[in-house]
Amino acid sequence: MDFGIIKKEVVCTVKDPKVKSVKFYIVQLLNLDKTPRNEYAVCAENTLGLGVGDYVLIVKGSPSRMLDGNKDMPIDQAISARVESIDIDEKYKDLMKD
Amino acid sequence: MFIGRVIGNIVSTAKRDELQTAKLFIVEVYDGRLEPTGKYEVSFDAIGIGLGDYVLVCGGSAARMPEITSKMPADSSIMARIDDFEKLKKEFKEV
Repeated sequence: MDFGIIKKEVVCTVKDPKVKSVKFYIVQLLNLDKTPRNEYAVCAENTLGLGVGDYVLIVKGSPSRMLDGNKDMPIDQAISARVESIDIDEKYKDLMKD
Repeated sequence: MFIGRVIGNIVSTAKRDELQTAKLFIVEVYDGRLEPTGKYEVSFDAIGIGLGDYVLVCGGSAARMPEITSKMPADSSIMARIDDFEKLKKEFKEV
């Protein structure tokens, strides 16, 4: 699992019939203090109805097809949740930066 | 999953039975900033694409989910074509 912010939607009309209902987003991965890392992921999003600017959790590999409605889809990265806030103990604040 | 550009196809005559109907393409891997990385991957075509198209490629066991590649020994499949890559790239820079 990883944490990031949705940057942009990738619009595709020609696609495999199994991913007809799915939207694809470019997600910028973030440190826990919400500063950007130099990494991106292309993720599928199906049922949550998220948009650009939302903080999200992404799940990688075959578990991305365990999400509701994603069964048998040709996807290996998916958005699994929207993040409202992250709380970290004061002692571990310096862990938030990579 | 990653964004890539189809830059070539592969012709092979001696291949396993499972691969007889497979269409194999060379895809240049693009990074999250939509710039080419200089890396390449050989991918199965699941949707019918052409040279020069910008595409989405999925890897691992997801590569065997499209109908066409479901019985093939695939670990990388092209499963969507990006509509307007230039527009996407321009807008991405503005974000």
